Amino acid sequence: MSNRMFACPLCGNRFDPEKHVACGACPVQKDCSMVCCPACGYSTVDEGQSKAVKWISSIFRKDADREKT
Amino acid sequence: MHRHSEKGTELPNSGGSIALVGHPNVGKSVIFQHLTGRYVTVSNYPGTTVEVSRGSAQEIPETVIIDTPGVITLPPQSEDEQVTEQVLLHEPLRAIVQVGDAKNLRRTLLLTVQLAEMGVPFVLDLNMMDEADARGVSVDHALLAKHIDAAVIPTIAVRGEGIDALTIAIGASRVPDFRVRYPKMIEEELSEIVSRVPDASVAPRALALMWLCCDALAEEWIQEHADEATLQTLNNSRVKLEADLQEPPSSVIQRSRLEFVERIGSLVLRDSGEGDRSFGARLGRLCTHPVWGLGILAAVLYGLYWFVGILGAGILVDLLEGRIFGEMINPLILTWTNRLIPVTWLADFLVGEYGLWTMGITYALALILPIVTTFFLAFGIMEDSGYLPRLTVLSNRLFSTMGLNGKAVMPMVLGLGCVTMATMTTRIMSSKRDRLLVILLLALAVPCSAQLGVVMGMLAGVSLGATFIWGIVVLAVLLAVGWLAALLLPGKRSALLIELPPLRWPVWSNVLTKTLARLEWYLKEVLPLFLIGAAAMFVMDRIGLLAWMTRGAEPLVSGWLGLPPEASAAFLQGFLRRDFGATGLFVMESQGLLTPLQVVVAMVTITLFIPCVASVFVIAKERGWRTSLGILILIMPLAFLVGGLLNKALLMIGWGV
Repeated sequence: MSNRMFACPLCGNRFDPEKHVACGACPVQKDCSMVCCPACGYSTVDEGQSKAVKWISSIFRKDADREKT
Repeated sequence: MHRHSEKGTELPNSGGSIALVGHPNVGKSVIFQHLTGRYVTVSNYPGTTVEVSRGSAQEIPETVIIDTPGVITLPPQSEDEQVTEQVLLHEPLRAIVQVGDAKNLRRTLLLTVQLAEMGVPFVLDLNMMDEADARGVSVDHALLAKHIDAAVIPTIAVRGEGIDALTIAIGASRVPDFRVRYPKMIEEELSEIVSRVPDASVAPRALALMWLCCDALAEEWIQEHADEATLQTLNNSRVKLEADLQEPPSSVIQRSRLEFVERIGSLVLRDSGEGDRSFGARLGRLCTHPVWGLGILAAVLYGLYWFVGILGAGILVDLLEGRIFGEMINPLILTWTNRLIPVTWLADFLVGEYGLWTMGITYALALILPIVTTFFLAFGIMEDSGYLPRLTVLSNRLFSTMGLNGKAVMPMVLGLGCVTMATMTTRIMSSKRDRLLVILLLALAVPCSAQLGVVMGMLAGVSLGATFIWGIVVLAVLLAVGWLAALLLPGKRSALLIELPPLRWPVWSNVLTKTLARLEWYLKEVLPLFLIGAAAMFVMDRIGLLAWMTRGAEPLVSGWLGLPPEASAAFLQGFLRRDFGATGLFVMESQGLLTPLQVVVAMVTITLFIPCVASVFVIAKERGWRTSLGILILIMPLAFLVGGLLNKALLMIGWGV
């Protein structure tokens, strides 16, 4: 179970993107990389799932750890 | 043990459980800590992996406080929300305390109306009052308490303010004499169902409403406690009601609740006049002003034009495509490919006119990437600054005066999603004809803001006038789509609650993170399609099909649209994906092969194509291949019709020749 809450940038509705609440009625369902707001239907990309973001974040984390030591 | 009670009944001062219910992140846990002290137990709710905290109430003897998981609304949409509902249905509750966010009163009240109807003593705790004050939000608590017939206690949980008053209110809580008035057909059916449902821990009316809303947990409970005959009657009631209403009862019920919330919200919310007078707050209010808001929107659009068009499609594309790819990378690759690959057709396949590298990769990285990067950056700024929801509110005001619902259209226009979400929204329509027509209309004009951004950016690289004309035509089509769809949709569309965050300077790490994630998504979508497109163009060129199609399309492309015959290749690319075709046209324009008028006509035509071949597959998956191909057959001629008419109109006024 994810503890991550995603706030829709359009309507402000908070939901867990990994629960795919809006996906049940969608023909693509969970196979796309979109996160769709169950309240308003706004579709965007979930940066938490982005490999590029994770990679860049890991570089910054390593640099920060190196600075601490 | 608590059973639902008659309205106005007070319960004994001790015993039973009190459920803390509310949205996520409203301070429920802090309230829980104030009410319970140090000794709490945290355990998984039976049969689930969801943790629930229980503790003894410090000031109310022999009473347990339950901190339930956050719930947005009922029926539950997640396991957490299911647990909250199970607590409401199964626990011996002596009271429900809803903890709400005072600065988002409407969203809070949407849950309040559901909880207050449950026939359980109820208290509304409006928390985060300090944040509400900072935003200039003031609530008339006494008036709100009167309307929902329950105590409304303001608190600032993190400072411990209001906790004593809350404790007293909980001790004196009673069942509210409160109900939302639903439409006549719903009320009649509710009366029928109420007389048949088994006795439960919540009021029969609440259970009946859950049944009509197809709440799975309520259905399960009723199936366990009612006999076959009763179940059959309840099922028949629901089916008949849906047929009479021509839409799901849950939609009507939700809409009634939203209308009630809007009405109460407008009565009890006050602008204190002593609220936030900072520049950001004042600018935020101006953004949704009917007059100033339009001026700000014009400025934002101009900024977008400059940033995406001049910088992205102009300066950055010149740098990448002209210098880096054009003068450095591509000549090198061309030389080495011709040296290493003696087979001419294979070398052409890679680096020829329709080569995988020279078309597929170069288009994607040298042309599209800079434009889409600037577009996503701009979009990320609009999101993170809080402007995007204000744009929706402003557009709703404009569209409503024209009989449209902006709140329905804007999420699709602004969202990155393809026609899938648009297709999804048609599921609530009962008529096959209406569903089909709405999908057709939405596939024609609306989705994928990223592609629209690319087209806009390319046009902006031509001129402001070209961008303006394209924008007007696309807006006109969008308005026509919205108007027709509104005409076809049965009944009123449910209102949408939009939370307006404070307007602020964007946090650059957020903007860059979102942009990076979107670029990854976009390139994953675009690269394979561009490579497939380039390969397809290569094959068609090699076998002479491209030349044949160009000659065949001449009456349409040259005669009707007024474009050079070579533009046919770009339109073929456009069938695969709009921005692929637009890139081909952009290249032609940069080579001086198209006049400004021709660029606008071609771009408008391509904008009205189906967004990409993937959306054809999506519609096919949802509605079948016949429908999907039928939509394709209708949309393409319409796109060419609009393009041709625009050509004639612009020629008549002598623009851009």
